[in-house]
Amino acid sequence: MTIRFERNIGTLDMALRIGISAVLLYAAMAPDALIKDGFAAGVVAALGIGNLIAALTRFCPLYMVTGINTHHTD
Amino acid sequence: MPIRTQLLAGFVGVTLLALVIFGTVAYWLLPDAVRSQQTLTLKGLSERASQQIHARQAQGTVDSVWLQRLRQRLVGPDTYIVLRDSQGHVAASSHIEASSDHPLRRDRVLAAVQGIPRDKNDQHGVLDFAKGQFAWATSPVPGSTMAVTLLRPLSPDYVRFGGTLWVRLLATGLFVMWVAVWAALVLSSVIARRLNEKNAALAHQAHHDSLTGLPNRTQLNSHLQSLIRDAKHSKASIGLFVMDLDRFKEVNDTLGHGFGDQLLKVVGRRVRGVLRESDMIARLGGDEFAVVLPGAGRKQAITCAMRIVHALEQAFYIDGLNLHVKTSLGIAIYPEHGDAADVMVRHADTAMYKAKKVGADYRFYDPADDPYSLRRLTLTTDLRSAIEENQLLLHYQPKVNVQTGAVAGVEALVRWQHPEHGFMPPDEFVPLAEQTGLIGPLTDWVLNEAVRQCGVWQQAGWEPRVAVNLSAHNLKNPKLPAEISALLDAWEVSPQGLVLEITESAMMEDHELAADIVQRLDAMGIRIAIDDFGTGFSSLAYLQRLPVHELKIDKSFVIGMDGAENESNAAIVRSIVDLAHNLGCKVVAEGVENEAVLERLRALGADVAQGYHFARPLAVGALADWLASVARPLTESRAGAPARLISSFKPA
Repeated sequence: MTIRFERNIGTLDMALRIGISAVLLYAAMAPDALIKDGFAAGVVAALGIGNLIAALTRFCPLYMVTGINTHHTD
Repeated sequence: MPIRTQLLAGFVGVTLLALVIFGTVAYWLLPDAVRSQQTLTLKGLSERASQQIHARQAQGTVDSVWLQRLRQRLVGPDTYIVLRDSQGHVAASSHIEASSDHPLRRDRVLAAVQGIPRDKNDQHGVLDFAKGQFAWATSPVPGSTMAVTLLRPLSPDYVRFGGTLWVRLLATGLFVMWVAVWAALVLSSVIARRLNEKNAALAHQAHHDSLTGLPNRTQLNSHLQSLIRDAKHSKASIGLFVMDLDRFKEVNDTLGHGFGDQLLKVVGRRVRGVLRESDMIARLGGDEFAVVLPGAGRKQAITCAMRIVHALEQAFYIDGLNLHVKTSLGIAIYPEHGDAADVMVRHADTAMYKAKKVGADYRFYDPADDPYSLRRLTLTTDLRSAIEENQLLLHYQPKVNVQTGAVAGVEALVRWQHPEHGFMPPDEFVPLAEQTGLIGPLTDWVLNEAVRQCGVWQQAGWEPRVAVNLSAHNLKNPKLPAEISALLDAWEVSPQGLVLEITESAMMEDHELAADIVQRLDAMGIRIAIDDFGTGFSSLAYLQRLPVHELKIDKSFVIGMDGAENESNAAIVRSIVDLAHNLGCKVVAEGVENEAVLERLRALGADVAQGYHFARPLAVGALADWLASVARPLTESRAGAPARLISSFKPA
């Protein structure tokens, strides 16, 4: 399996991901955060950041592995 | 639903289920966990309290003031300290005064503590009150019979603790979900890819021939079917070839199967090479291939067939050997030759066998070649019943002595008036009878009828030679002479009245047996004639040894003998006449259609002539009329009063 860092996240997909990431990061890191527990906030924040990075680079490793591509289909 | 989606849904479903079970169990266990944590804390406190009471007892008295201090120092204001003796009585010094905010009154607490069994003083647990749950823990005071019991309302802390747990649970669940989805996607896609590869391989295997890699019969059928479906709308035609390699079995037998396999591969590649992209070549099995030409009619089919024939004409160079291969193609065209895939394949197959038989490169399907066509099947049944029910008829064609003009005999020819199809030409039903094994009963019937008629004529005083055609089938029947002998006896006919006509090819099929039968027939006094002489490939040496009385020159040499351009035919006839006379045979010329030909035959020295110039094959009554009209001498040997005889064989 060759790894090709090609864009595989479409516009709609990216928008959704940024939205989800924003909610997660807000819940974990806002000054008056929804999640007060440090461990839980850390996990949620990590997920949010990971998702945000994928959305901004428009490349999802999971998509690459599974052959899903929302970039060319929208 | 694609398999990947199914797998993914399955994995995600299992993950969700696991999360739900995990959450529910956690939800149930959480209060228990909090309670046992608090009672355990209380148990630890009670042990420390009992040790401190033990230390105090050594130095001073344990009074309520000291206990109050201990309470404030060690356990906090919401916890009672109850001292009990060995009988379970509560010591007066027990510190159970309620603080202002404590939910329980002293008497209730006392009653509750009385309820805790004294002998199990090493324990802890939870008590239920109307106002809520209370944790308790008991520890014995070392060195005395006293035991100390602590009692404390269950702290609402567990709500806070549980809340934290819930958030962690949720966050972990989210993370687990994420990982699970990852794993599910990756796993499912890997599994799906494997499955798809496997499926593709299996499908390829099911639809392709393993040796040549070409599509197989299954694939051919489905492809042809879909083409036919499309063609039904577009009114297009489709060409189908079925071809095999002549004498492929010999290649396999002499050079080995490995060699044969290689040859098949190369043949497949060569044929593929001369086809269009849209054409398909399939291997049907063995050395049989099929080619589908979408949109091809007769003309394109012939072009393509010739391309294939030429492609296979060049020698095959395999393992250092040059090999020449010939192929025969059978062609079926949609919609002319069938409108279903299996029918077309069968018809192309039939055409191929015909092509092979006649040695042609290719041949289109012709229902007449097909022993299994519906018409032929019904005809076979009809012919069987016609023979059994005596629906057949014999016509007789006179043979006339060329030199004298006398009637030398008649040839019996079978006729069949089919109730639906009308008059059936013998050319159609005799080959059918040969292919289906009905030729035996058919010739039996003809022989019987001819001999019977011969008997009738002999009774009437006319003794023509009646000629009957025998088939190759008859010449394989060693009982034939006995059967004929029985017939002659039954109808009281002398053997000299019967002529048996045999074609050269029939004679050659099993020539030892045929020669034996012919010799026995000759010994009985029956005359033997070689029919269609000159069209077969009989060995003259062999002919010479046979007791043949007549050679019948095939009509293809006789017709048109009068024309100047047919001098070669005349030469052939002359040679046959010479040959026959040298062998001691009479010569019968068939197909004499005019006086000029007759003249020529007479000049060449032929003995007997037969043809439309004299008469067509005639029914018994018509023959009598004809004899009367020409008023010829009836036989060579017994020229006599024709009028008397003619009247006697007119039907009553």
